[in-house]
Amino acid sequence: MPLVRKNLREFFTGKIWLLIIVFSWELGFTLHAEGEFFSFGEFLLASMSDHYYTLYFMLPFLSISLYHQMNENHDLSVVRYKRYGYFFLEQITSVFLIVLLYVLLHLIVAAFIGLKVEKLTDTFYLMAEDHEELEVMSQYFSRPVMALIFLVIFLVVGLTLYGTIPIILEHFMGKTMSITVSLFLYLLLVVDLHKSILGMFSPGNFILFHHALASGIPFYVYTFADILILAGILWLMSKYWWKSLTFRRPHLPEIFGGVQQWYIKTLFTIRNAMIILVITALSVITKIIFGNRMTLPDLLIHQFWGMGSGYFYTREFLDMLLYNLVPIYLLCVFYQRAKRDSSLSVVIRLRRKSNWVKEILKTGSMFCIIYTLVTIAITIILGLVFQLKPAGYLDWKLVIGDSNAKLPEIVPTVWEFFVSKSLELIFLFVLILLIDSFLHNTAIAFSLLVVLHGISILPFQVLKYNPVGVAFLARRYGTFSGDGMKLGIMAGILLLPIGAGWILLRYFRLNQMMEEN
Amino acid sequence: MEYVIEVRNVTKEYKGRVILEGINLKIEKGATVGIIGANGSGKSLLFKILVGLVKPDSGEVYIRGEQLGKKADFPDRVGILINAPGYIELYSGFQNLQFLASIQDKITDEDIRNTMKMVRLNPDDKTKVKNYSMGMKQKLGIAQAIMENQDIIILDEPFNALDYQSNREIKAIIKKLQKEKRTILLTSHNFRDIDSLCSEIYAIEESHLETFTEEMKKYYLDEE
Repeated sequence: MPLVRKNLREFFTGKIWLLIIVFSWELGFTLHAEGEFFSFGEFLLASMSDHYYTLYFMLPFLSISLYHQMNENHDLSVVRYKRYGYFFLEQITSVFLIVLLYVLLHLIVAAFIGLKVEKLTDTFYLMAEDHEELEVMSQYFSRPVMALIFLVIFLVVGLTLYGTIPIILEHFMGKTMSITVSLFLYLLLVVDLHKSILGMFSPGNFILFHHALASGIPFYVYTFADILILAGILWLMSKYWWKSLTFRRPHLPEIFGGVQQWYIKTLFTIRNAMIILVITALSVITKIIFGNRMTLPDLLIHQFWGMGSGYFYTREFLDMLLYNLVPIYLLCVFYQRAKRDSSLSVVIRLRRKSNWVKEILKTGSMFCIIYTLVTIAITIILGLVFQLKPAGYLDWKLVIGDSNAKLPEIVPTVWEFFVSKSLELIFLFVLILLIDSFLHNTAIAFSLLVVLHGISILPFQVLKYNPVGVAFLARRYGTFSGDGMKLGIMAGILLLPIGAGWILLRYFRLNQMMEEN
Repeated sequence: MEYVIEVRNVTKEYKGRVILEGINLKIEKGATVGIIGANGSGKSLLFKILVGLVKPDSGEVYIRGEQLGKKADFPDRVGILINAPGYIELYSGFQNLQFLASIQDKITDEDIRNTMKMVRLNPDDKTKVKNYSMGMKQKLGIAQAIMENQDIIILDEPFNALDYQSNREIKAIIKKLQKEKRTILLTSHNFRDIDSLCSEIYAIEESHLETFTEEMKKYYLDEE
């Protein structure tokens, strides 16, 4: 099986060391904190069933590596087989053997590090706290090693299926759809693990042994289901490998004419929509899963809190950057492209250079408004999906404690956020255009904007009026104790530089804007 | 008359557009056939259909009298070079050919070496394929298409992006293959390349395969 040999060799290259380092580091941490409570067998079991490591590192590492490797152009190999099915069988065998070695590698690392536990025995002591998985497994197996054997088989079959899915999705649906569907499945897996939505059909039950044991369905049912699905995939590929499932985008009515229609098509792409949806969804879900118990208004406040001025909290700072820089980055890419394509022939048809800038600004502003609207909508939808209480406060009540600060009315707050955030993003876009007109480099303009976000952390009271990040609720409400900012002032802070920026661009920087690097 | 390739009434649509319609083609053993057409006219698609990588919506393809897709999805002893072939970038040229040869296991390392020498590549060169020049990659592509003694060779744009010297070398290789009575199918943007090598020429025009006429020849020569 030359293809299998080649695939194994390609997978187990230098990058595997990264995996070993992360896994060893994680195990070393467990050993240091809880080593005295584990027997050797228990340590192995706990290491191999750590669902955080499995979900956030083991699975993505495997899927991404396999996806890249298996979806190369294989035409030269394929035509040397008699049937496509034989070729694909070798591919699936490769995935299975890669996963097997991948899991065994983890086991070897765990066994090596586990030699340092105090009790080198194969017994369930169940002394380590927060290790429910050991308790679950001890109900089914008398010795950890027995459980470990079944766990390894279960994990290998489950991961083989998970590794195969993106490959066949790419084969039938192409890259974009494959990545989208795979990301959705992964998100479903992560979400469902924390807030069970699908019950016994939870995707985690197909990989995580202790979850399968706790599901109430015999664990081997999941393994058989995996094998059946894999057999189905093999049959499907042998029979219909040459088919493709393509989705044609519905033809949208052309509301905007001329060059603006063209710019809208360039900026409002499926790719950009996916980037915004995935990043916003991840940001919201992370807050729901890892935050305290919260209501929908709590979630909305958290999502749009951002960062105030004169202090530095890493999480708040990153939240602020993520929220503002995603649309600005997409706008930078758009602007760079629009500038590159703005040949004389386009401008001549627009009659004036200023019309070109107007079209760019109109399209960019529309994007900023829609982005703000979409992020609000996603937050509300996900809040409802996670069954958060639609009214009242829980988490923020805890934050405010006994202080006299009042919790804001949520509907006007979200409305104000929408207005001010749209304005702020438009301001940031104008700023990008201005900087770019001087430096002729959108990448530097973007970097400068990142720096401007950082300025607010300096301990000067006046910096709360820095228009970069001014629309976040942290600035609006301060610390709920009165040092916030009125909406009118905030609007003024944003509208003035937008107007000034427009005048500068329109009357002074027009020619420079259209200059190439 | 022995036809090694026979295409009967093949039609193929792609994303709602008819790319090939009612294609009929018969190729005799040992012939060198050139296919010419504009970008996106369906030349590569036709070649992919001939080797079974793409199934037509209707019509049949027979290779050495055997219908494609019946007993096998891919025909035996057909060498291909279509678009940019997927090499293992971290392997040397020899290692790439070794891997491909090991799938059918019909030839020895010595055969691979001889083929590489024939296309003027050094089998002992340890350079990874990712560092190969365009010409070297094309030669490697031709090497894998002929190394297992394939008697039908399908070459899609073998002269693409080649300098004058590499172009001459590849032409020399093709002429050598002609002397060995192998059946060769070629496409090229450059009509002169096709004209200098092929005994029969066809053109894909508006989804149809047309026999090349003197009028077309004049048009292509004027264009170039």
